[in-house]
Amino acid sequence: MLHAQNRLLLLFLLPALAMLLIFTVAPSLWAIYISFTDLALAGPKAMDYSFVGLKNYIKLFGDRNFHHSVWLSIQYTVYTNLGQFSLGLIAALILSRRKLRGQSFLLAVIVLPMVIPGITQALIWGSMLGAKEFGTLNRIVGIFGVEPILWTRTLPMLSIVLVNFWNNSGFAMILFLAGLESIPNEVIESATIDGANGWQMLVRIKLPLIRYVVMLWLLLNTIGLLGMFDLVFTLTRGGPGNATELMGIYIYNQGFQFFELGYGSAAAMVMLAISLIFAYVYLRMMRVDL
Amino acid sequence: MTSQFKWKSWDVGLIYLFLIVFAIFILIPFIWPFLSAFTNKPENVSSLYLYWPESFTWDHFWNAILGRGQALTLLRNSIATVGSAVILALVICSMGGYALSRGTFRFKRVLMFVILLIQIIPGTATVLPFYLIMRELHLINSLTGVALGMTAGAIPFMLWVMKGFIDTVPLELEEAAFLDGASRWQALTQVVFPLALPGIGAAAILSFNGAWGTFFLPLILLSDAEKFLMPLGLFRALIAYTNLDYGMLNAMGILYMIPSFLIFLFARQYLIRGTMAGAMAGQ
Repeated sequence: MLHAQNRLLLLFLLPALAMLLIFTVAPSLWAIYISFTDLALAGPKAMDYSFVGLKNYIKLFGDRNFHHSVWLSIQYTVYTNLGQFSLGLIAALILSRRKLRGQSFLLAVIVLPMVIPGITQALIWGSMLGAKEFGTLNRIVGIFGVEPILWTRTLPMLSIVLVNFWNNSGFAMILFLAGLESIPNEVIESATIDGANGWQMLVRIKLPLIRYVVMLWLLLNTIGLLGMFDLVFTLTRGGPGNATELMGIYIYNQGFQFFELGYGSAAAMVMLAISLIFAYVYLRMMRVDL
Repeated sequence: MTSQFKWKSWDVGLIYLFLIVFAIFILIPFIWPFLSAFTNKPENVSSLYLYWPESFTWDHFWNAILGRGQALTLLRNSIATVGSAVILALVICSMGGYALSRGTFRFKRVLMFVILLIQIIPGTATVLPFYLIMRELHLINSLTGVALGMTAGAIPFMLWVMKGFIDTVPLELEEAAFLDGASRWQALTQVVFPLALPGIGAAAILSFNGAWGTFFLPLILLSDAEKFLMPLGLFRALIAYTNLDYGMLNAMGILYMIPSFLIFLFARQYLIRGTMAGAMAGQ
């Protein structure tokens, strides 16, 4: 009876699995294969490509541009994580324990940029980061006597990281808020009775108790950031020069600008491997803590 | 939940200050798009920056919709692809989530782990062969291809969420239905589905939001301007260096933001709940 049931249920699962197989698993497997060839998007090598073994990977190993890309992606991820963590945590701490006026309005506002599509974000921030005295950000820092600059040209990494502080700190805040709210009141109360002050409460009690949520957030965020393409591509196209050419953009350029599918796939595999390493590290840390 | 702390008055002030500054930081970037889209600017001022408006106008929206903005075409394409993708994904994942929840196949654990793993694969890693596969399927430059790609992208997350919500529907209810002679399919559609509706709503909304912003997929797949989606159209307009009409671009941007914003206004709870469910799915 159970067997028959399961067979029917498997049928239910089939469409989902089929879609995943065709559109996600197959490309991934094929990508692995392509990375060992010299396939191109167009031109002679599109038809007449051959297996080249590890040649692409060896080339990647010595490719300064690629190293640069990887390093940029790592910087980008680390800075963004730091900023979003801080902002999200402070906001969550504040909103979790007090009944403040306008609380739900503030929550809504902070979460708002999360629903704004990437292109629109880039459009909006194009104006913010614009050159000359009229750019909004220039206007703001001009109050403090700072010279106006074209942010995306002078401080490209700062620019794209700044946009990330704006657009996704809400995600951290939501998760941390959920974590904080799930701490039983008794814990807080007994800590207070034991004489814990604000800082100790934060560092010794609250943070350790939400570390699972924090690690989870860190995992999800890092994976997403390492593969980031849309926002940065639309904002800077990887420029100026290759100052913001994150891994995702590098891969795109290899494939659709230089038509080097084989090489691009190899780069993609390396990016995937880096993501998996991060994922593995986080998962280990989560399990060890538990 | 009230804290037992005695808050000093300057503590409260500091907190409000932080929140207000943060809120202002969030809101400031929104000034320009609205200003630019709804007003006329003075003659010698660049439209890229904040300016003191001359007059209110709908012109930019007219340009966007009827003029070279092509907003209607773009919006229509976006709605068609994202809409069908979400609906398709809902159907597929309701069935799949049900199967994952009620099934007892041995490889279930492995399967769920793999599905989780799939989400980790960054899109940029698979895009090149994805393009090739779509070429084999003759789906290059087709909206169908885009819709299918969106569906596939939405599936892993939605499967997890669906399974999670269906898990919360007690088995007893289905068993009662079986006793009454219902088939599995009827059990799913008439017993489980209605009860898991809030979860389904959250999943649908979150997936819609995610798919609505899809830029990469149409970028590599579409080459006919007629078929472009909103993000792509905006992008193409942005990189046309000569004489950017930011008023019109912002009008388009605002039109594009409307569904997301509406969802945000009316379904914020679902959005937040869905986000949390998705993150917790990692457990």
